[in-house]
Amino acid sequence: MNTNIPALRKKMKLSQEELALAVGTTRQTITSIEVGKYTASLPLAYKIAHYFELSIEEVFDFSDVTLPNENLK
Amino acid sequence: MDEFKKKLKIRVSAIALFVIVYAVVNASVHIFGAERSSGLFSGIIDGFGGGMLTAMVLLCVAVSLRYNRAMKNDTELQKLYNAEHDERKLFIKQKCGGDIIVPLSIVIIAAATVAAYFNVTVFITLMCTAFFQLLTCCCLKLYYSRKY
Repeated sequence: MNTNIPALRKKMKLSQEELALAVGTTRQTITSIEVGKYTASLPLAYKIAHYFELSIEEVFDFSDVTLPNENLK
Repeated sequence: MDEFKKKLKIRVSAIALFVIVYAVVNASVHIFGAERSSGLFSGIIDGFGGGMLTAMVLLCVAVSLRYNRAMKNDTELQKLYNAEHDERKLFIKQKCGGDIIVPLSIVIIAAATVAAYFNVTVFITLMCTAFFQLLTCCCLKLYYSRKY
């Protein structure tokens, strides 16, 4: 999953370590999320979005997520 | 965070108790202990027990120093808390079976240490089993750490 975290960090002049400390995770996890290796859980995604004062959709790119078929709803 | 600090204090106290008990038992064995039997396997078994305990004590001291440093610095404490509760680390640990393999291997090593005084073959078999389990767990951890 793609994210806007690197751009947002750059804008705020924030290191991975500082972001990790603020959202209660490790630098390695932030790196993995940024490169798309690891998908953050909903609570962690919420914490990251809240830290940047944005919505989850503004921080994480959900364009590759398949939505359920409307007919099956 | 205060609760985590209390937890660390309890861990440090437990480590200190273990180190003191080890020192007392080790000193007692050297002062009052019976003469050791000779032979290759007896030497291996005696050396293994002593070596394992010494390694555990050294590890405990290193962990204790890390905890003490973290308790004096709020940032370090937060980092330690984050590292212990990091969802990715917990996920990798779960994936590589660390939750069950590590405690199981500790039990097997303890059983091997006891079995060593009765049968050398059982001791070697149990030790090989424990080390193979730990090796598999380490390999899987490395693989999943790179994957996620």
